[in-house]
Amino acid sequence: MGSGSESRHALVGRLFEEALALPETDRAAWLSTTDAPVDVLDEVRELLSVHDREVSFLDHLAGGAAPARIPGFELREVIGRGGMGVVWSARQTEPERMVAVKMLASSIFDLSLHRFRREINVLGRLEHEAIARVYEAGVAEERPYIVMELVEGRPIDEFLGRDADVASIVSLFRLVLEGVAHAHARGIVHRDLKPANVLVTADGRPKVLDFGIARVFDDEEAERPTLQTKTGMILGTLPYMSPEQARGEVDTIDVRSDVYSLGVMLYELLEGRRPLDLQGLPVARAVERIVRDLPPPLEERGRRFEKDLGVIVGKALEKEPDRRYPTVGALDEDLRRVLAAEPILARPPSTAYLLSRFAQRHRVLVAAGGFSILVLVAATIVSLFFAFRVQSANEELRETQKTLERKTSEAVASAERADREAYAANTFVEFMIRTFLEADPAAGEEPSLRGAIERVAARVDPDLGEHPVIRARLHRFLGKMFEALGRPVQAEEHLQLADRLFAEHDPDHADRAPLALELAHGLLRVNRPHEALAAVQAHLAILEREGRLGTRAHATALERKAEILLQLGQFETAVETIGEGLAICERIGAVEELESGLHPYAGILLRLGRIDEAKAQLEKLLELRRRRLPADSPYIAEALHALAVTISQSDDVEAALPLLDEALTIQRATLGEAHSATIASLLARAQTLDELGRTPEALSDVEECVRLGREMEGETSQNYIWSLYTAAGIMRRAGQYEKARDAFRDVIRLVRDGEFAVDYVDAWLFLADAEMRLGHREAGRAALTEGIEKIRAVLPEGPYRGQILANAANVAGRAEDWPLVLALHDEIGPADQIFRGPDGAIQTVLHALRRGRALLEVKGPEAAATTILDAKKILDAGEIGPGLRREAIETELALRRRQGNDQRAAELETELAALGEAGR
Amino acid sequence: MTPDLERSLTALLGEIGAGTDRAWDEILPAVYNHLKGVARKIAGPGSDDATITPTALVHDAWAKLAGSASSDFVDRNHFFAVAAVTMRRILIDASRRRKTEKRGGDSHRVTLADVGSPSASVDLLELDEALQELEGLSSRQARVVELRFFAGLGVAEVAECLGVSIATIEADWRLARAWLGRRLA
Repeated sequence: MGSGSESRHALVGRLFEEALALPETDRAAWLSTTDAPVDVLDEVRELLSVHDREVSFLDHLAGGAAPARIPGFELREVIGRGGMGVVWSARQTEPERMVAVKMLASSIFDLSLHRFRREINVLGRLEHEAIARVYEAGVAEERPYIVMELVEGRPIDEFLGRDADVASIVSLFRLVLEGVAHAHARGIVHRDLKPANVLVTADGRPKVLDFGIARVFDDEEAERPTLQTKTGMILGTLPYMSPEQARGEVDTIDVRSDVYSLGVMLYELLEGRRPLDLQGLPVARAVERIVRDLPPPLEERGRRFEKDLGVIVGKALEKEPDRRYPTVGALDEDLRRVLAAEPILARPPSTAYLLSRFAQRHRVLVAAGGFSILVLVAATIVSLFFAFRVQSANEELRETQKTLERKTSEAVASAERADREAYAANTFVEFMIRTFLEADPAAGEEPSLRGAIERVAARVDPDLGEHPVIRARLHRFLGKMFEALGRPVQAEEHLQLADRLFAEHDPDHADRAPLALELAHGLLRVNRPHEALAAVQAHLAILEREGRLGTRAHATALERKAEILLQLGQFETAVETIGEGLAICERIGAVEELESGLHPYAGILLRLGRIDEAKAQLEKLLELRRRRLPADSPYIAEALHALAVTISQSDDVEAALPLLDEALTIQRATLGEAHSATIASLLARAQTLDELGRTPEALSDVEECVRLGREMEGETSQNYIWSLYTAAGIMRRAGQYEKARDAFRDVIRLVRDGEFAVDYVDAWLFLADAEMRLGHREAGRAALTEGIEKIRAVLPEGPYRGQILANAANVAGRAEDWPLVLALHDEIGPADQIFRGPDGAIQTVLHALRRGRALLEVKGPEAAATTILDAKKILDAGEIGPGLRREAIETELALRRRQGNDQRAAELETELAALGEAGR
Repeated sequence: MTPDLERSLTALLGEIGAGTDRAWDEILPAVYNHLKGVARKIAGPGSDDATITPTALVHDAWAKLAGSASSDFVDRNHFFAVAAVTMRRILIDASRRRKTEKRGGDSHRVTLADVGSPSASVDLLELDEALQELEGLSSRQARVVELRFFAGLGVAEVAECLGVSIATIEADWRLARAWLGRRLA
């Protein structure tokens, strides 16, 4: 670029300036009268057209559009910029004074002139020393402007700086409130209160700027701003916006929106930071925070008044307008009281309210982290403090009567307890909020409830050492949380701790009754059914003592008891118990309890071989839940899982697969992979695949389960053991006997030390079977002997025990221990009472065939012939698999050889040969 | 900027020139806030580039300013002039880095975009080139843009800074604004 181009640029600049001085319409004509080169003129014309463009990026970054000429005003300098326009300082000629002129960025065509003038007339009547006056308004060059009092001052936050003491902050703030209250009394809401709009003059007088301007510059169409189009405007103001404003609910904006904005300002002035950190958030997320997130409480640094101020600011910042101060005057009154050291009128929010807020707040986590279980958990927390969920009116009435009947001394004691409770509740809430705040989603890392819960778990005892009862309640809470998170081992630990603390420090605490039940459930989940039974009995005893039989609580307890009895193999008692519980539910209309009872009921029916009835109950359960709950509820997944397991025991195994897939989809999305419920579904799927002969798929599923189960809680977890047990079974059926043997050994090692539960009773039998198939006859016999002892020890008489003993007899048969087989068969009793369900008939015949085989070896062919031949005849007539066919032929062959019937034996050998390898 | 702050800034900058360390500590909060306002405009919400946050920008500029050997600023005007250049450098560097990282990457342009006018954004590197070109035509006009952009000064402040009349700066600004607008259209 030579020196020539510089002078050319200067020429362009001169022509540009001179043209600008002319009215827009005369410029082109004037330019053509100059003798400048054509290319220079072209450039000037282009520059002029760029200049006339309303908004340039440069204006946004630097100073605002070049001044429009406004008759009677001499614009000086840009003193402020906002989404709505640019503010200039200007000298007015008549009357002569300095004013501020606010110019709207967009053209007058964008808004109703009539409305504009009407609004300005209203604003012009606002006269208060804490409000910047609006003098007049007009339109210049199609752009509307407002002339206002020019305030020389600094924004209130800057004026106060970092070190202002609380009293001077509050005193100054009250002057602001006076001004705002004046405008409110005239029906004018500011709608954009923020420190930048509150200037404080050098002599310490605050002036609120732009009163009602937000509304003036909002044209009617834009009253419902979409976040996209109004982003800029919203961003400057967003941190001070009330939730209703942030949501764009223009119709609901009233003085209480200003109360909220004032609350944000006061918080910021006192605390040095805003209540909610919106920095760097996309607008939608920022709005979400404003609508849902609770600000952290004001820090107490031992400054005066801070506790009360915290309550006051909290009330101003309530999410729901109805919970805020109804007027600015009411807020002002409380601030006056603080300064005068009088008690304030605002009350801290109740525990119930705080906890429900907590629940709402964590719904955000739910959305963010896919943790919909949190909702459920949060609801649990709420109910924790009210010992029992809200009960039916009937029951409440009865409870009230009982309370009235109590003696006076008891009433006094309970009043004292209520006092202590209130104190405990406060300490609890403070602790929880403090700990949970550390899991603030804004803190940066992906929020996780588990992380928060584990923090609480780590800090309960050290932080709350002097409050054993609160600790007890927190341990109970943690127990329930871990349970909901699918961590039964940790859950049981905390429930035990809670129980111990209550027993030691407050044995009559109201939490003990529900805790006993929760503990029972927890114990069951970690495979300790006998202790669980004791706990549930203790709970039932409490209910009886308190006269609460026939209630929801009673029904729930009976359901729990039935589950435990089921686990203990006491099926008949379990059926009775659950029947009693369900009857109560039906009677008092307890839908949820009815639902939760159907599941164990179906489980018991299943164990009794009443598969169709079980299936019907579970279908009912699924339907109830689908009707009541959202489609992705984990409870629906639970019902699907149960139904699938039941169906897979009928002859329609394949139908179970889609149900399990649906359950897994829900569980993976809501509970995650490493959750006991998800693992349970995955296991069921593996078993189903195995039964369908899709063994490789089954094995890969089951190996995943073993891995997850072990990772989750170490080797002793129920998840791990059950996964291992299932895996071993599938390996065995896949012919991987060595792997299966090792897995069964592990299962036995893990359950031997703990309390033994029926679910694993046949692990010994499978181990024995695997050993024998590997040719280790002695090891097999040893395992079998131990297994039979376990069966006799833990399983009560009945069909289930009969079936397991039949399995033991089969294993004994493989070991060719015929006397044992015979003894076991005699112990089983009449086969037709044991083998029920769809394949009950065939099982009965098979049982007879095998008994005959043992008779043959022990007592000789004459004693065995009828039994074997009758069974064989039935089997020959039926459609049976090659394995069974082979067994039937081999059994008769053994008989014929002992009888010396060589001809029949030869026929049978031919039949066997025809079978070939099939069924081997 | 309020008169009070300006006065004390000038005094403090004088102390920095005199080599007093204390002055840096005191000037930090005052100038920091000012620069942060500028940074927010340049790299604040609306900017496409999340890697340049206003805070990072200010810290970066501050480190460079405080660390520069020529910390003997004549006065606040000088200081802001240096600050403006520094801010510009940092932005351009960051922008260039990003471009290198995202090879072939017009897909991720660092833009200046002020809130409220998503359409009014400009590629920083293009702006830098245009400014260099303008500098060749009129270095004062380029300075005016730089000071208004990167140091966030008002017209009067720029006039004082460059020692010319407000009217001149206004004319410079009008032309530069139109010229850049045309150049970057």
